Amino acid sequence: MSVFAVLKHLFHPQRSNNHRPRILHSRSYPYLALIALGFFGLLNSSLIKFDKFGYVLGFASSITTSQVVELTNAERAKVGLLPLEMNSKLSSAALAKGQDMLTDQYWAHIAPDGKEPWSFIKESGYTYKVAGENLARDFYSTGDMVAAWMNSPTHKANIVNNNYKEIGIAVIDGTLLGHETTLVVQMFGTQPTPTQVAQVSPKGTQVVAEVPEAETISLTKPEPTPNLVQFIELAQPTTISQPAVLASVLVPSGSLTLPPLFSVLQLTKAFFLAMIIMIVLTLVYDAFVIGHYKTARLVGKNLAHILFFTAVGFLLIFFKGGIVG
Amino acid sequence: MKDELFKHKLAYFVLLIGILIFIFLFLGAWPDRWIQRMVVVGMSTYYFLWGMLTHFKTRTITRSVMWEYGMVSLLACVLLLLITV
Repeated sequence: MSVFAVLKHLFHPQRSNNHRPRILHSRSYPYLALIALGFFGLLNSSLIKFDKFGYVLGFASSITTSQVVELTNAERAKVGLLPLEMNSKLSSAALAKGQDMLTDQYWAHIAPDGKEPWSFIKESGYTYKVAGENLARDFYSTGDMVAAWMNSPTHKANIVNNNYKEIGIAVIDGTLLGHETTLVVQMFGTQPTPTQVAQVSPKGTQVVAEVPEAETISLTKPEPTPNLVQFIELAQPTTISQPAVLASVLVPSGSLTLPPLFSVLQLTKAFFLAMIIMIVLTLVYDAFVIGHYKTARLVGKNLAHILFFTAVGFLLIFFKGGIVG
Repeated sequence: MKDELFKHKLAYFVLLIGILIFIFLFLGAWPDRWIQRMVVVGMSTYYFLWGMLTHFKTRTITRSVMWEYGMVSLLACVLLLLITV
């Protein structure tokens, strides 16, 4: 059987395929689904090493810490809140959290060993009365990422929380759970004011947090045990508004190059879309040929299939990646 | 195709409205991938049931037609679920 005959059998309604292109037979769709699964599995398996593909396959985002702060403050301004100030200690805490996730390969607010976000904040030397954390990964742009946070009620509650005064951001490139990605850790906090610190007795009893427990969300936690030692740390001058902590991954000299052409998601979408286009075009061609020869068949409605697959193609095109946590 | 469309205007209108609602729900659910997956399963099931109902009403329902709608729905479901992984 020549290649032309095979193609004709697959795409042209004729006697050999019972006057319905073979690719549109109900038994062909599971094979197409298997091909899609195979392609997806291959792209996401460890069989493909990103470095082998050099500048073709990989992940590159345009997210910067300054943009994250700018857009976060823009969202706060929309609801009449004061802008957050960048704090270098919170940024260090965010960076430590991001590095911990990449090192231990997890995607969660609480590490597998039980370490909570507040531990990173305390270790950075930041004294807080209230703090919070937002996470994001796989986003290509800062705008999409902040929009995704604002679309999620719990993350939005952190961004437009009047109790926060400062922010720390870390944008880290690395490989998480087998995927090349850009990880973003956003930490919020407010340090105790001198008035509140004065409430701390010499015996080291707890400071009463300004935010009632009920108002805080799951990612927000008042400082449980501020004490005199923390007061002394607070009294020391701290650096505010330090520029962004950008990356934890050291780029070897000379290896700074152009970003990759495609990400795994883009390539997957392109492949799936090609399948959809092939099916839709075959359906249109089949309807035209059958209509022309006025052949009677008892099959599904081509027009309905075209509508349905077009909708699937539309969703593939407009699907936005990115995960928030 | 034009004749088919005018002959079953109501059925295609119902299909179009349903698909538009599912598109809106899918894009609106972003970035919650679990909800998106639920919408995908819902859309595929809706299409399968629409096919069964319209063919049943026109008395053209056969096992092969059922398989065709089932497999079309399955393929769409697989493609959309994979990108939300």
